[in-house]
Amino acid sequence: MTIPVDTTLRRWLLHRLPEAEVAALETRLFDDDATEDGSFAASLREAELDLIDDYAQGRLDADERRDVERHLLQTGEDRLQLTIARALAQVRSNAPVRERHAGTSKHASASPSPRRRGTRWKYGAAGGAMAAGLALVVLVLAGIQPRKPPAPTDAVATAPAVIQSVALLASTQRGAAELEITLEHGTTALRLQAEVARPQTGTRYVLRVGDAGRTVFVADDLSLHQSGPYAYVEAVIPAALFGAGVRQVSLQAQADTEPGFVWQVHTRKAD
Amino acid sequence: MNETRPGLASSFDALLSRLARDEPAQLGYERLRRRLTQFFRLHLPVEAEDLADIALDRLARRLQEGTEVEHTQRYALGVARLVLLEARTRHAKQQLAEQDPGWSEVPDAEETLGLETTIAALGACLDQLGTRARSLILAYYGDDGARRIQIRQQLAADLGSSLNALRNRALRLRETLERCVRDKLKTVSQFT
Repeated sequence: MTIPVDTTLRRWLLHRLPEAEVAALETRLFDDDATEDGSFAASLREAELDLIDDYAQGRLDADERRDVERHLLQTGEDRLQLTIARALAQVRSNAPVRERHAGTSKHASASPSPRRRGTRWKYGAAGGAMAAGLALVVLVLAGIQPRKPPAPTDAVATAPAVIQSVALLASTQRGAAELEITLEHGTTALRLQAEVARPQTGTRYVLRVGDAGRTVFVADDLSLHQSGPYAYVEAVIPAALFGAGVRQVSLQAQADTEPGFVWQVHTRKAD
Repeated sequence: MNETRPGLASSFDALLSRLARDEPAQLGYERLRRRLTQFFRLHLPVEAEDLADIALDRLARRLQEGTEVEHTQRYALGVARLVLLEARTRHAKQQLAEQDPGWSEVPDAEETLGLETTIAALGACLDQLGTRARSLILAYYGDDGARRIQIRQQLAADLGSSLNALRNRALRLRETLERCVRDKLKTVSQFT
């Protein structure tokens, strides 16, 4: 018996199939021949994982995203799985090309594990070491030892993470608002909190940091937070990525094609 | 009052005994439980595990009572549909409508622990899998659409494996990976 094509399984998972077809597939799920090692059940599980991976990487349209949220991401376990899917996508994007596309064939070159720097960020080499240091700090605090610890300085390896908050208010926005911030000594990351002037429930947002037209950081799928009368989104960016100088921070709703707000942020380091 | 089958100390024994007709009992039990969980996840994901346990318990009791069951899995599906109906009726009575709940306000793992922490834990877990398993995971769960299918077919060909066997292997690796990351994140959260 053939396995239903992937599109049918996806539509089933997204609750888009007619009832009669659903009933037939459910029967098929329980008829799955043990000698096939549960092929149909495994295909269904794989289709679910592929949907979550596609969601994590922003490949779904708005209707699909809504249906995935409604049917596949309801529990804490589901959302943890989504976080892992995002992490897997990040690790994969940082892996060498040959590893990304290699199988485990003996004919493929035996690529060693990429040099372990904890977390590598695709947004800049400087940020990679700092983010790795931040990750290492968290792991050291937790008593988890990475097999090959990265090589940050001793000070970074042992110092606690210091996160500086930066509030970007919509009220200061006049087309392109400008503000100055000072990076305090020892700051390892910035928590950007960008006010949303006209928040809409259920809308997700994207925060971008640019440097002279080049995007150095993107945080997407951000949900709204509320603090008194202020609605905002927030993202944490390694301080080394943000750096000193002029940066453009833009905020937009995920479905929009143009930024809604742009801030010009002048950053300098403390004396 | 139905007579129980002699020699079966519990309903669980009755179920295992029945499942052992087709395959090793424990394997059959795990397979059946997984299918029931998948079934309930398609309808009431928040209660999927609990409802699967209820369905298994009822199936086991029917078998212990001597109910003639020709096809165990199909019978289990029938029990599951009844359990689902009851659960939905209960929800309706409690006015827990099956509307779109959206995202709950409970912070999820990413908000609480950060993607960076998860990436670090994932990196450590991938290392533990070994080079070949790591490469397989990264290649298998990478692309989308037609390219995804092509890559998986190519991987299977390279390994001299059937697509089914490769799929099962990749699923087991992914489960192992996710379990490892969960364990590491639990450890981290104890210190934050």
